[in-house]
Amino acid sequence: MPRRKDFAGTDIAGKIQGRDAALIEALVRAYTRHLFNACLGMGFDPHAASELAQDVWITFYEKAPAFEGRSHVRTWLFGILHHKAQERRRQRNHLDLDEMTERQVDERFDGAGSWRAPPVGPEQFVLALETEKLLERCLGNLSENQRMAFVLKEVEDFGSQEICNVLGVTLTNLGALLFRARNRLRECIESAHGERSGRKK
Amino acid sequence: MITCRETVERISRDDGNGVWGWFSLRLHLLMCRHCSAFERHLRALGKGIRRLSAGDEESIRKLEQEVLERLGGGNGPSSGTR
Repeated sequence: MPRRKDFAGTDIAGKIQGRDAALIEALVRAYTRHLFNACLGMGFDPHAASELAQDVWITFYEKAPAFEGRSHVRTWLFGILHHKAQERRRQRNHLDLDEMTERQVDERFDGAGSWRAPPVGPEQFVLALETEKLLERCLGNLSENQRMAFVLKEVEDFGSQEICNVLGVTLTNLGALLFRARNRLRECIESAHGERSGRKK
Repeated sequence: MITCRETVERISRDDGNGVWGWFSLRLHLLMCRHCSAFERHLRALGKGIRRLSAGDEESIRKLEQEVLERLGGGNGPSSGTR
């Protein structure tokens, strides 16, 4: 990922507004891989990921004259990606699932905050995680916001404030998104492990 | 000493909570094998998503080329309006 200071000069906004061909090409070369990889991480198959990344660039180009440079160009690009991904997969109502995640975590602990049902060993967890397509399947349980927050954090190594800017949420909201994304994925992988080892018995 | 529940909450939220918060978290993780297993699960999830997100070089090059062609080398999107 290019650093934040790349493409951040004072003349960048003007060049983007004027659709400077050399700059646009440099941006495409610098960020296409990150957009494509983020789409894969959000559970799109390679064909859909490619279409979605192209869509982002078309919108970027169309809206370029309105770019004011108030946010970094990569924040803007990933913001477009976020909207496009939401358009493609109409947000399911995840409220019930959110409550379920909190309850699942709560049930793991006793009143004193100690583990009542401890997690499985790390080696067993990694083994379960390597089950073909399991992670992709489990990603399907996440809302678009949770998926995007998790991918920007773990794959693109964005700082918390920049993720908030992309998603349009507060730092507290981001904490809740990451909490739910990670715990929902972890529970999903662990329960798949439980089912598999249960079947072996 | 923070509880296991608080530890899980803070690791999951990336909540470092300052130097002292970080220290108390690391201390708890050193002493608690269950929370340490939980932390390793989250690290494995991070690794898993990075593996899933690694597009192959050929597809990426092809995609870059397609994007540049659609943007018409600066002359506007081939299928959009300018």
